[in-house]
Amino acid sequence: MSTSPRVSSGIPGEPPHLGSVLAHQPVLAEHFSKLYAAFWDSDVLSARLKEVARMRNARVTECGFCRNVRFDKALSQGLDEAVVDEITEGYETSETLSDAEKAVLKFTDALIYDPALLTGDAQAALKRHLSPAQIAELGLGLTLFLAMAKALITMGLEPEQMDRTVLPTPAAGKPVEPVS
Amino acid sequence: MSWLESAPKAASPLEGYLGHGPALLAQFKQFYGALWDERLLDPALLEMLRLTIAKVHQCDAELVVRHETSGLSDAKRAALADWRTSDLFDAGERVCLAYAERIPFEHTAITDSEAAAVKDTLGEPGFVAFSVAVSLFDALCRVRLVLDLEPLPEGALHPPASAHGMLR
Repeated sequence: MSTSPRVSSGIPGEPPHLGSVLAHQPVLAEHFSKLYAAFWDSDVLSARLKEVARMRNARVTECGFCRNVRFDKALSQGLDEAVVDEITEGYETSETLSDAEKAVLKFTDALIYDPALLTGDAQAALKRHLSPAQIAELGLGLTLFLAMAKALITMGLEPEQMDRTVLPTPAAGKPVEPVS
Repeated sequence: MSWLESAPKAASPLEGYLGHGPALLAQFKQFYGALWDERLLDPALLEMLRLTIAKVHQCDAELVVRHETSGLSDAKRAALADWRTSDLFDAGERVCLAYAERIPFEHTAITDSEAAAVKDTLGEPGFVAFSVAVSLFDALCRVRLVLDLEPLPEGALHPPASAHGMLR
């Protein structure tokens, strides 16, 4: 995995990061920015559950950038580091994670890693905890998390080193943050 | 047949899933559709990339979709599995298809030289659009597979996956 940017910034004076690189394609950047903001702005599925899925995606796809970013909306809903630390192998037996969070993580693993992981029992658990609208929002979010993490990694935008960083949750009217 | 009920009056199985959130579905179509509508890359190349990634996933629901205005000829579509040896594919297409095949399960192993070859072929803005496109194609195959979305009838031509059309 490269930590040397494979593409330059499209914004003069800014280093290459997801937002500045997407500036090479302003229409794509604009639509992604609007969609990502609308996704995080929607409360059909809580920001906490979205962030649980995003953290899992970050670990599985090996996106160090994504793994070190926290969105403030999820933090305000109680997603502290004690919870994040449980989003690892063996999460099924965690006493910290809720059953709804475990169901979200199983769906996440199935979508981004192996669909066979979503057994009939796992499907039933997901439907017990989430409505169809919430499952749709989760799937759309995972599509974006996975796709943009892979785009970030393959464009060489992974940092060599990065501290944990709390960022404002994406919102309408803000430019694309350098995160996925 | 998906294990999740479809949203009412959905135009396709994929819209039946994402359509449970109609506002976000509309925004997603704007984003995904921009790849096709705005011709950020040659639509025929996009179609080849989409199908190549679907083949890696063995995703029948994605493979049966045929975008009628992509410009991909029937001959090239039929020969796509043999892109390494078929005379129908040029060197630039081969570079892009080889890279696309690695996205589903080997994205962290893609080398600087592989990325440079695609960038040399498409230019820097093209490489950015390519990187987003192949990653989205991979993710959408995974959505179809995990939801058990049923394939559409085989052989039909469909409008492009457009912001103004529908997600087949």
